[in-house]
Amino acid sequence: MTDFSATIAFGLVRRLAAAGTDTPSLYLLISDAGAIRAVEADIAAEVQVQLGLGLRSLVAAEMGLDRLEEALKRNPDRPVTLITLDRWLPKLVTALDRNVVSLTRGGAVLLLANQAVAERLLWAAPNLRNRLSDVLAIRPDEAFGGPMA
Amino acid sequence: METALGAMLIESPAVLGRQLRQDLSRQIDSGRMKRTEDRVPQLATVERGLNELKCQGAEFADGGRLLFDIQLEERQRGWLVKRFRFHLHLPPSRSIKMVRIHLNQGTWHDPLRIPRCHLHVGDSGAHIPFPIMNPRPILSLICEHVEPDFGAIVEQV
Repeated sequence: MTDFSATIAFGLVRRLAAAGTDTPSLYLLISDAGAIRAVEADIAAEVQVQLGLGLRSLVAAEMGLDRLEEALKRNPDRPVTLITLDRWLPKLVTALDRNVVSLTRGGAVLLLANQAVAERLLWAAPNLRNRLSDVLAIRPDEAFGGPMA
Repeated sequence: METALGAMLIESPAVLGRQLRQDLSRQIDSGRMKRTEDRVPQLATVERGLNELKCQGAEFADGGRLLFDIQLEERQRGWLVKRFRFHLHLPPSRSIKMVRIHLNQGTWHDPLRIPRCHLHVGDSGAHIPFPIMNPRPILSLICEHVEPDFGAIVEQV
């Protein structure tokens, strides 16, 4: 797989802040499987500190297909949505691909996955792939890592 | 003094560290500071319930350099700023070489001689009283006022 630009949550959220949180954007974030929880916590903390907003966090495995539209509904108080694809869910990925316009209608959407899931997503979801603002390799923030973060 | 400190309990050392990093980034965006990795405050545990945020050296565009460390102690309702040291090394062209702002750990000194929070100018041993403030406005004050102004030689027309 191509080596993507490396970042931490701080740099990612700086980008979102510069673009404006209402600007539709879609990022695919690739993380080591074991670091996904730490990266989620970092993103939530940086969204709070830099944007003064709460992060809308969705776990793919818990998103029902029948309630997808509701899950993707824009929330003006939480314009940044993080969807963690913690395992390969082909039906959900297909549904997200078909609903890519709703997905990116307002605000920023961050898809967080490990490398294996990210590779499959890039192959199986052409609409998502075409809408991606960027693909980034994201790692936990070492400066504030650990249980205190 | 204790009341002032108690009134500024911090949510967590990590949140303060992220806020300080964000504040330093704004100084970089404004052109006052250089982009360096060292500016990132690092969080470390000194002992159980005592954390330290340490910035090894943030460089200003004109050659100044800022180092700071902040110790925070866990209390029931949040984290208390127990001690901090901000050391600003001014550029060689300035008449003053260094400014230091300290919050001492305790109040065992005579507060009239050594106030708990104080400022040192140059290598003077004088302890100039300084208001106890949250580290964020102190950082902003240093970057936006102290660093550009202290020791600057104004040419007379």
